[in-house]
Amino acid sequence: MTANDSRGSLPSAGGLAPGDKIPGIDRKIGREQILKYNRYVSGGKDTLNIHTDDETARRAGLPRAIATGRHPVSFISEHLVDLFGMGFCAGGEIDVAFVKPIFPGDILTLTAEVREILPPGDGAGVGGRRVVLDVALVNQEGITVTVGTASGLVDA
Amino acid sequence: MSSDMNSEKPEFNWGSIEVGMVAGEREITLTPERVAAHLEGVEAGRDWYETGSPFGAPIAPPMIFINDVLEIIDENFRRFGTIHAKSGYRFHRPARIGERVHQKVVFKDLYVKRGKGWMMCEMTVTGEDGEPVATYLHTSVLSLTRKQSEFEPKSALKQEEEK
Repeated sequence: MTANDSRGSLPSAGGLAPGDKIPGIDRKIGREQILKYNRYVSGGKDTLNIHTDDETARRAGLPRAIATGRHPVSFISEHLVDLFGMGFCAGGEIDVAFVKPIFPGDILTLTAEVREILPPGDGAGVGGRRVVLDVALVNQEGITVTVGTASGLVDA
Repeated sequence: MSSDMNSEKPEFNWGSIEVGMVAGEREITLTPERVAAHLEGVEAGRDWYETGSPFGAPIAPPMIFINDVLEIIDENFRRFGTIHAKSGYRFHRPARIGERVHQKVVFKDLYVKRGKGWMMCEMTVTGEDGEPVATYLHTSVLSLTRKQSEFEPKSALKQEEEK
């Protein structure tokens, strides 16, 4: 957990049932976060690209600079480590589509709801049930920017 | 990399890649510095990644390879303006801090959708023990500024879907 997010207490993953909603997490994607992430993926350098520079973004056909889609997927991943623990680090899965752009200053809320629970041997990992969640990142205007599914193992 | 070396690389576009082609492969070591840079970049932190974990030793975050698909492509192609559309991640087992892993990126599908060329590739990460650590799936729109006529279908399956 960092100073840039907020979350409620999480339930025990082993007690989840279809339809259960997982307390989410809010995260601001400000220009500072975008530059910090860009510096990381650029080997410590500040670079101009569609994520950091409006003009470069326009030349690529975008209205202005946008955050990378995969940047906030790390927030989803860390939230699922909180929820599933070892059952996410060894057996976890995420599948998401980046359906709308994320602009500097957006505040994203992660929503997650249990879609289904697969028994061991039915798409689940060895010795554990797989809890499948519908996940989404929704911006401050209520627009879903990232959507998909994620899962982790329980009772492994 | 020098600009001379960069100019020797092919442009990353519809014409330069094929389904089944290896985009690149390499070995990297998950040093504490690499993990620290990742955690700083995504503003995350956890004792498991630094001091110890239930797996018996500090582990790397599941998303530690978050940028490596594009990094490997960029090591071998000149790329500009691709838009990341979808991602898939399979975390088979955590990678240990200090572990040397093998990464290989293969183009798995190329298709035309909504008038744009789309590319799906897969990165497999294998640990020192030869076992799979993670699989990352990456789907991008190759360019938002090109016309549909520039994209000749390459995937029989997707070609049928388009009809």
